Amino acid sequence: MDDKPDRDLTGLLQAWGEHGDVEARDQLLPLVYRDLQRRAGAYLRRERAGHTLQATALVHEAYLRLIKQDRITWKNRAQFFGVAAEMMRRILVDRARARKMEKRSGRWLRVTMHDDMALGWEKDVDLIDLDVALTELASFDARKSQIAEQRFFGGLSLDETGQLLGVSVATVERDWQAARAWLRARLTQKATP
Amino acid sequence: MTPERWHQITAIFHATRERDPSHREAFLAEACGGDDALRQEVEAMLAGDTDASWPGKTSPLQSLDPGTQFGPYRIERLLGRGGMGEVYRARDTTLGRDVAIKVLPTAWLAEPGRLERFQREARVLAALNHPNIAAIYGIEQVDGLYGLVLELVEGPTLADQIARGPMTMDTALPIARQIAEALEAAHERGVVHRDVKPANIVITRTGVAKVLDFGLATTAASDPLSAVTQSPTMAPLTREGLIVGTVAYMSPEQARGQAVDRRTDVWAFGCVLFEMLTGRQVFGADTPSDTLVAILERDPPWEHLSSATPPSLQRLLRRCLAKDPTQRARDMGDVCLDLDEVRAGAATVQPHPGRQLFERWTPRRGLMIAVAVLAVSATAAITVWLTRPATVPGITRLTVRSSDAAAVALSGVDRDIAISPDGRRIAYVGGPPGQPQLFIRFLDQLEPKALPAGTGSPRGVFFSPDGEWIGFFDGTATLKKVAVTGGPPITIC
Repeated sequence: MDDKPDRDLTGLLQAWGEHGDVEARDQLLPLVYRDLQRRAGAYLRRERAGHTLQATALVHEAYLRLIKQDRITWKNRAQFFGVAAEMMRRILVDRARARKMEKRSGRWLRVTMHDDMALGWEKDVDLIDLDVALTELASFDARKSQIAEQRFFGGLSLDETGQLLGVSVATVERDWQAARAWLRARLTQKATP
Repeated sequence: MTPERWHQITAIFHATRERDPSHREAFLAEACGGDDALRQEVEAMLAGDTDASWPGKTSPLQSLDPGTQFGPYRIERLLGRGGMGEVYRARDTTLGRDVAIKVLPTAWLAEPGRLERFQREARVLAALNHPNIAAIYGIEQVDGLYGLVLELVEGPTLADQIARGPMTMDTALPIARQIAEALEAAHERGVVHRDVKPANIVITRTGVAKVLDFGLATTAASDPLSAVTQSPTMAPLTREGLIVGTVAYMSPEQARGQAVDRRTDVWAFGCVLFEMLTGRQVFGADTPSDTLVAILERDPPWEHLSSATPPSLQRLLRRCLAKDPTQRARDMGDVCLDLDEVRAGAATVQPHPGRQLFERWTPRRGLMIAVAVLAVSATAAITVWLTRPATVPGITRLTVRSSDAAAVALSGVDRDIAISPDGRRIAYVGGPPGQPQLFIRFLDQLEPKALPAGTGSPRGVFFSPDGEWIGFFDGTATLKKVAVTGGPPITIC
């Protein structure tokens, strides 16, 4: 996949978003995944240990590169960000695990909170801890976990997240408040045993 | 945890949050009804909740309390808090003056080399002593906290002012000039601001613009993709709109995570100027991703500029907002000169009629406009307005002496005047009665030059794509070309 946006990708995304074409989705996702992985890899190689990572920036950039924006409806876009967030999380957590085993140097890959998340998280968060906490949250509240996942790894605004999940913005905000507070409590507990 | 239990916890969490802080403890005790585990869960969440102020817990973000002595400074109160740490109002007890102290986040300073670079730039700026740059008094280190001691600048920010609506040119231009001067002075000493935006510019009571937060931005080169949230001086972010506002001033190269230089400030300056004049952000969109797309791919919405905006100002904005940094105005010194030109022009020049003429020339309209040269006079004065972007500077007026024997055709296939692709040359048919000749006029020269055209009457002048040759019909059937530098004409067919 080169730097130029690919028309076929747009076509695939449209087929999936507008006509529910599952085959198109199956063709599309590996491409998105590969691109995200490559970009995350390239990014991380340049980085020093302990450096922070803007997952959402990576997703945004993948989107810009892959998709010709004008021809995309909101639905396609939201769908893209929906799955991209999940992929990004998987890629980063896998990498963090591999890296940790390889180096035994412990927690090195951290994410920095995006926009409104930044408030009150005075420290970066360890990725593996975050992943574990998100999975735990999903076990009793899938939606809140999904919203949080989108906040950390995706590129959707609260508004868009609401539309993607079919709930109001007010609900997303409320859910996010609770999810954030719980995650933070969880993560600070771990940090100071 | 069971979903039921979780539901109970979140319900109490939200309900407690909505209570007045002074009533929360009592409310929580009652809501939990002796279930200590439940209460602990909710309390942990409330502690993790950044908006709630919880009894017994001070905000982890505030490092200094009012009344604290920070070196020779007595902290008075917290003025604001952002990605770049907290800003306090403080009293310099030795010199007896009020100052602002920005406490830099330790995480930000942990980046190797950053403190050194920051100190170096602070020293440069401290020595600068520019009226439009908030002065830096020093850097204070107390118990591992770094505080930047700054001139206390009081007044609304430019963002506040723009929020009230578009500014008139008379108000906007003097402010723009001051911002440009501040940036130029800093650039001259190698300091790039990297985060110029209306919220970083304060207008004092006396109308002086002060640019704040120089040198605080991280270098894009060291953390490329974090560019999206790179702005270190972001206001506390609680709403989407705020981060969009921050991303909105990023230059294309910043948005791509490439290295930035002074031209990034030129871009941001263009954004600020546009916003002053229109009351709206050039590239602000609903989401950060849409904003980034706009910055990277869309043309600025020029239609929002008032139609009374002088062309010189429009051109300046175009030069600042060129996506390719190499096409952008080279430095703020250039911008200052352009601004002066706009201001001088605004005072004297009315919109020029020549523009209308040019618009009527556009081939799109397909009109063959023959400007009949006045029968008696041998001259026709044609004012040419060049609106080609970037490559053509300035308004050019010139006089074309045409033959009075025939009308000069200005458009259509057979037109007798042509402008070179780069807009720097004009070829036309002119000359004494009955002897039409081919002329070229370099716009940087005062006189036209006659070109040898052959025996017949040249017609239907056009330029080669590279602008080095002029093609024309000699008489009716022969197509010829002649180099713009002269030399014999060559018959093509």
